[in-house]
Amino acid sequence: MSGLPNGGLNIAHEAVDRHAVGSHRHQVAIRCLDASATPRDFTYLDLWKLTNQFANVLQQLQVAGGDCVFTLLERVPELYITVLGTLKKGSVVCPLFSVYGPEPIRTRLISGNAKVLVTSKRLYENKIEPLRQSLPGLKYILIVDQDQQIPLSCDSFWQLLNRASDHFTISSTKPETPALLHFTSGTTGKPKGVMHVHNAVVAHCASARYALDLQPGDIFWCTADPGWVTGTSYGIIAPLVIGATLLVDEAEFDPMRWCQILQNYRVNVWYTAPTAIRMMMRLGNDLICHYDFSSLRFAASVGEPLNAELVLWGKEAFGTPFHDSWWQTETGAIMIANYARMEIKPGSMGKPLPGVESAVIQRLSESEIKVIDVPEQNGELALRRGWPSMFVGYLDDEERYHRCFINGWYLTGDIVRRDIDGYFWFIGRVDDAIKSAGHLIGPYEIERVLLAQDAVADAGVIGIPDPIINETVKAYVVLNAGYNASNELKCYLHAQTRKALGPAVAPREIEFCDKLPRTCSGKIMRKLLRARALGLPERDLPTLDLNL
Amino acid sequence: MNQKQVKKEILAALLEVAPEIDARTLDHDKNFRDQYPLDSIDFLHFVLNIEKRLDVKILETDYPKLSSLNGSIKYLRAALCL
Repeated sequence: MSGLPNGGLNIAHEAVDRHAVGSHRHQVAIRCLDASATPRDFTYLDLWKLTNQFANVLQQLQVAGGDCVFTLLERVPELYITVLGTLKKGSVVCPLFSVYGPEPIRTRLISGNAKVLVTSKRLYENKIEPLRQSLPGLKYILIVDQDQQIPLSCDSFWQLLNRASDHFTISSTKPETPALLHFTSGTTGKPKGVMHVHNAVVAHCASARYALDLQPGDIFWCTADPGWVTGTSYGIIAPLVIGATLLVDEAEFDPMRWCQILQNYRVNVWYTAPTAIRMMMRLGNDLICHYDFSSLRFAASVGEPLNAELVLWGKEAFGTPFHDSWWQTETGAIMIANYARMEIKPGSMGKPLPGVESAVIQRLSESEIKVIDVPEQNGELALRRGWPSMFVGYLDDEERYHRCFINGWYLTGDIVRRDIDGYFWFIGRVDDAIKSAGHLIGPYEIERVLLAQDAVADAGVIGIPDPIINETVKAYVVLNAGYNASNELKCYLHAQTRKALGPAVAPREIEFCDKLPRTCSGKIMRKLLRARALGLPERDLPTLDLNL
Repeated sequence: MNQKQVKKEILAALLEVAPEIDARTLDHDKNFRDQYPLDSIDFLHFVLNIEKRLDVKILETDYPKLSSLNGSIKYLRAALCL
């Protein structure tokens, strides 16, 4: 990393401009595969010009430093140009997951005070146009489709870009200048807007070297969508900073297509998720052994705990075991991993990366914690504050941000155990957030959509174990008087939640019940719901909470 | 079982996963995932539902053949020797 020529730090300078004037300038920076798996290459020099043009477009639209530019796109080249161009401009970028339904999109655009949205015609017409009236702060919508009629009150991304100069002097951003916004879910309240600064690039780069063994010139494939933090930190920034070639696949997951991509594009380093690995395992070794994965040097996983069987199956099927890693939207970069230069303990999260200080703690009160020094004890994972990619705030919720820290430790909300060799093992969550198919899903967002239905009096959402996606989202619904618990109504509610939230967030199961267990203060007792769903004895739960 | 019944079971398997789909407007030749926001887990559940409903085993390598309504009908007619 070099820093800006006139002092300061900018992620896009480190990721693009530095290479565009150096020996990597003609190297492919991003290779985008479209739906038919046809590649479209962009060298570092191409990317430099295109991102300069986009930064100039923002300049022309009078988008200021603190303003927020959102994307709602599939993994197409324009997404990468927008993210990096926005960072050059010194504005904040927030990529949204294109599979979201209109409701999560609306909440996030409002909460992030979006000024510009870059999207496709199809996504605009399906998801944005009906919301447009409720988004007065959204000044510009840029449509990326070429050769298509641009909808009214939108602009053409490419027309604006083609008219803009391909020279741009990067804003003098500082390490502490806001750069990235990602939303993550908690148990209660709206999704949290997690803010990161340009300094995060230091951790993106270092962690990609340690935890992913990523080297200049590598062909690197991070399968996560940039709508999730992994898809931005490692699906855009880290590989470019390192000078690798980033492979991007526009299509949705398909196990055979993935095998072909790994083979045909000679992927060296692959960062993926347990759900995808489990679904690929279903193909069977007889089929997988026909592919040539000899280029693959390193494979890693993130999103939910990777069971030992999968770690070892990686070696059998791809010639390299999967290295599990752990981090969160808030940490901005990998914190704990079975990293390249150490022995893997299958099923464990690994050890903290160099520079990351971690502890297992017990919360004693709202302001007091106790560090558990002895190994093999369960407790909450805490990280000593101050690493470069540590989040700098939750959007409009300073109090919630401060609650995450006690005595200089960031409390992660994950329950872990540290073994005698210093490896961490994931046990569960402190709160009721659901880990499903690599996504952290907040029950509240789903309950709110259910409660908006006339038929629904009360709703409680939990995660129940699933062999493929770790946890499946299940909703318990209490009906209002006059509504029958029919299959038709269940289908209707299921359809409504899918339409509002999209398939990744909506419940996959709905069950009617007479009453939800709540505490004296009215909080849904999701642990009790989970026990019921799994047929576990309810008597083991703390009796104090059992005020039904 | 005739073709009409196979089609009915396929649609039922699909609606079980994604009840928001309007079977009347579904393009029979177009990929389901190009018409409705179905993710890969939905598609897997759809195939597993078909296996259950029609008591048939579908190889993972054949999954792409079931990506549209007509593709599914064609595949299952052959698999069920109709």
